[in-house]
Amino acid sequence: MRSPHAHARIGAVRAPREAPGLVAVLTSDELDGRARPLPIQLPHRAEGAAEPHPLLATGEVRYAGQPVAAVLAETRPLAEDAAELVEVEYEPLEPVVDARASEHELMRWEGGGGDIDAAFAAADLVVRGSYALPRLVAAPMETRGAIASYDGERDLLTFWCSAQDTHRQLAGLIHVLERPAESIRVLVPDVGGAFGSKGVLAPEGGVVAVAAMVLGRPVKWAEDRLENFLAAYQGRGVEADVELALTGEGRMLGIRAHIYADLGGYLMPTTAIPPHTTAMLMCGCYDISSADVRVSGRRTNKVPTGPYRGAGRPEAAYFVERVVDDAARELGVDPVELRRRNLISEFPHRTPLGWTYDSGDYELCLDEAVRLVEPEREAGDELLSGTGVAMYVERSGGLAESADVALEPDGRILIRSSTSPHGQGHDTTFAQIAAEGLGVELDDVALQFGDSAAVPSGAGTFASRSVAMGGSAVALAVEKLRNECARVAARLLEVPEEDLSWGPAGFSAGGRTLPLRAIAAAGSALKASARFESDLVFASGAYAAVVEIEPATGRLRVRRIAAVDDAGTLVNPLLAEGQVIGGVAQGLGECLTEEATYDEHGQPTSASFADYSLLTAAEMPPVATAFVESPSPLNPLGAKGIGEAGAIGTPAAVANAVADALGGRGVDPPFTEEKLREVLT
Amino acid sequence: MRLTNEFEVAAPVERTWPLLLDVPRVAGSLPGARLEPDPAGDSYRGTMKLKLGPVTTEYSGTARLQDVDEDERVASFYVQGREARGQGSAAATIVSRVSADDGHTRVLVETDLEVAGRQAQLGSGLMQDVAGALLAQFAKGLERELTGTPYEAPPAAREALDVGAVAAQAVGERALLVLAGMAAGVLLGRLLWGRR
Amino acid sequence: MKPPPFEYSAPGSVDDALALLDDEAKVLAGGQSLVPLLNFRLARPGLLVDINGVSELAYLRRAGGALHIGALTRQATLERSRLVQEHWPLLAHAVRMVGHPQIRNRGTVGGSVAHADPTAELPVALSAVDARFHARSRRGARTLAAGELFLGPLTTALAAEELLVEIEVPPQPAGAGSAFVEHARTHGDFAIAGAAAVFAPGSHAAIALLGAGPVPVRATEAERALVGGASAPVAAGLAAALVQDEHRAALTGELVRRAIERARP
Repeated sequence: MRSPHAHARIGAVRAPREAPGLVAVLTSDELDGRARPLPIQLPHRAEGAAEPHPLLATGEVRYAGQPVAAVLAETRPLAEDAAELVEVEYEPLEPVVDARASEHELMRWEGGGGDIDAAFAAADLVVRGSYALPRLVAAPMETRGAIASYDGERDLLTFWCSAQDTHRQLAGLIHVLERPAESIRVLVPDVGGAFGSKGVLAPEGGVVAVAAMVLGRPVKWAEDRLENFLAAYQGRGVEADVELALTGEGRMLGIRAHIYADLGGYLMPTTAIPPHTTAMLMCGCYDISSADVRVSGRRTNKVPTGPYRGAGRPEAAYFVERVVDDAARELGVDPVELRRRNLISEFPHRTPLGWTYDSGDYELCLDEAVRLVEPEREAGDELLSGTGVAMYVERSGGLAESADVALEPDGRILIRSSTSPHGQGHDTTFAQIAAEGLGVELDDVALQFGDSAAVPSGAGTFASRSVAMGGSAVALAVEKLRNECARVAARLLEVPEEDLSWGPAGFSAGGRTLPLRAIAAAGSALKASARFESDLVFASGAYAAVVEIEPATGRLRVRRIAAVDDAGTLVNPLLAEGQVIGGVAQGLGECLTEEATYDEHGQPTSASFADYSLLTAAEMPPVATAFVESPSPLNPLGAKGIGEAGAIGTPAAVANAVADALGGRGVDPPFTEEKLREVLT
Repeated sequence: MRLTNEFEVAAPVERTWPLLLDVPRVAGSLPGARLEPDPAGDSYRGTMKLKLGPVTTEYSGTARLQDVDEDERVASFYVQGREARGQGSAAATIVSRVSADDGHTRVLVETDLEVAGRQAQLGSGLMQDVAGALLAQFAKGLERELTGTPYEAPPAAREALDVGAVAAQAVGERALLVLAGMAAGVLLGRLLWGRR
Repeated sequence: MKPPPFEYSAPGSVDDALALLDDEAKVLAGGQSLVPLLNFRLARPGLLVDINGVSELAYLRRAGGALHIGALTRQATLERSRLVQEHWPLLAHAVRMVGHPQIRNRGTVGGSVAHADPTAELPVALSAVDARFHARSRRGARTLAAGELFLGPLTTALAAEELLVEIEVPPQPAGAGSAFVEHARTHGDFAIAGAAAVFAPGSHAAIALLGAGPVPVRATEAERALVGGASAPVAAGLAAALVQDEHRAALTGELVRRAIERARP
């Protein structure tokens, strides 16, 4: 049962004494002493307010849709019937809806390097712009849900949920319930998508766990689409004032940015992370020697924000690429040429903001994107067309992942991975790595994931890190396993290990070959584990778009998109392309129709698909994809990340194309007809 | 939602002004509304059932007169209602101003309306439609009350105020669009005047 | 999003259905509009009268030159009908714009009319072709024109005890062409604005607007001007003047102009 008000004090909560099928009503009173609010993760050097998200509202609500009470009944319809009868005394308070106007900071970060004042003093031109990306709804195909069951005798809580991985759910439950890891088992089965919105434990998930323990019965929660719209954390919601200092010849000397993030009512565990990522990437792909960036995360009476496909990188690409295009127009230089004059070309490259880009070939990506998109610009009465390009650099990988690889008696390979796929096709990718490393067929490899009791530990599936990290762990484990097998093969063939050669048919020596099957049948249980840890790796790319606008109606049509991505070594090009196209579709949605809107009282006004419009296949333009491979030196596969690239490059490229078609007047997404007509008239 | 509505009643201001504050008369003419005085004192409690085609909403709540300016002929009401079933709510501050205009009365109503819950979240268009049609009904009802013509609810709207049907009797398609309208809470206020 | 409790009945004939209709009952046909309202708990009927078994209401035939559409006719049936495509092409065009194919497989023509959503295509198209709507109740039968039937958003003149049984469409005027044009954010999305035009130069013009108000609006001044020989842009301007919102008026004008030009036989 959720708050209808965006901001209110809560007085008494009166549950109906009885209702058909009603089992219990839980409020924050019942949770008192049994559960704590969710944890908060702060990025390096960020300051954050101690305002974590409570499981159930305690004394006040800060967004419409915030969980206030849990109504438990025999069936979902009966629970909804009973929830209508719960009476809550609300004292509505004035809501804050505008982030810039909010006086309450939930998070703050400042960073930079180089002599920024000198750079701006020496500049021939300082270009200023303000740019904004509205909040978005992640809208995964499957909404959130969890089932909890508590075995009092063994003191074991079992928790099944629709989530991105087991690790962060487990960590969340450990924190919220203050129980040791061994007393909780988390299972994450094959899940219907997340796009970043199921990374951390949901408050409702915590309530389900407590309810199962209190009631002594398994409890199930499956939210409906309306709840997902109201209460799943949203993405983006940032604006920035950016200043770029350049010489008269177009050399970028320094960049300043003040970023305002609309964080919502509380700091959820990962709320502070995307704005920090945006800040760290504000030099983009350019060799800028000084930077000064501040982030102010403001509290508003809306649902909190969190990672959503791209999680801070699309915002950085948007802010940087828009100001670069504005600079090109002011200098009278071709926007592609201006970029060329400033692209980083030597790696590793450490930016003044502190991250080190490992590898890349930015100029090749840019040239390819321009070539593929076939630029066009026309200003007719019936139609305006324009072209835009955008570069991006993004961080992925990092932290650590593990894998256990075992050779089963029948010769098949079983991989236990710490990452969990939720639509990325890890089964295939990791199987490929193992198949290649051990000379088996793809079908002979099985992947197990999603059970905290069975899989090794890791960080989780987010930030496009699974191939780089999880895949690398698999690769290392596979190599170790092959060495184990070599030892056995040498023994069986009665030759020293050095005399063995390894080929697709197996291990050979002196004319005899032992396939893996035979080694497996020899009886010993062969397995190997590996943990892989590394610094962040940096994927990059260039996107370009051609758009047309119909002045009479303001209608925007994206004619074509070119997506050139450098994700290092590609393990499975087909899956990679699928990820890019999917990301492009979401990036386009952001450009054309998507925006989480609120009225002046903080009421969400686009809380169903009738109002929040997703693109259909019919709206997709032709997308030309190409991959540049600059392997990363930081992992054995040379892989980076590709899962979010489409969502990162597309909005910036389309925005620049729209500005180009409009003769240099820039607009923030979504590029609705009303907005475009207003610019044109 | 800030809504402004203006309409004219073919009666002199001396007759209209007191009626605006005469709760029982106005309330009695509106089907779908039930009200009774609040034992606590200076306000009324009541329920209002609204219907827009298949969509029905029932609110129960209170209303009170906040202040009256006899000189300027301005009355200000605060109305709030909660959904009878569900967590939604509506609240409105309504300021009505009457002025004389050549033997007629001009009524200017400025409403600050806040709707919380499903009705606001799902199809904001719906609220605008309800609001628009409601005001048309109020204007009609008030005019009839003042000119002495007894108001007869259309057959479809006996138990609940059938907002859509009433809209049909309003002043024509263009006027419907022109009238920005009120919503349930506002109409509730029209009915549940405070005692002076 | 589970509906509130309700009683359910599935009559097999029109008479059985009529016996059940009253203030507390709501008719369920394709369910494409009603079921979401039930799930959101915005509608709370006491009794759901499921007429999907009333097969006597499912028919599509031409007789005496007029088209008789049984209220239970599925939108997909209307879409696929050769008869309709040949003799009433406007209706075939309009129904193709309704949502997605899945919706049209279940949604009915009668349901779309009785629900009277301001953004629905069929009420607008049926207005443009001067359709007549037949309703029955326990007390008798009556026939309404579009202007009498559509009263407001989600509201028709049908009483709670009345059931829409047939939509009757007169033959298209001789020599007339037609077109239906609409504008939505994405394919299958609710239309923001639209226009249905039936035009025989010099003799007949009908222009019905979607999105100009809470009900389909006939742009009568524009119609007269067109018949009198005015150009499409001029007529479109007259139609657009009926729309309040500046942006929507410009959009409507553009759509009407296109509709008239496409309707030129």
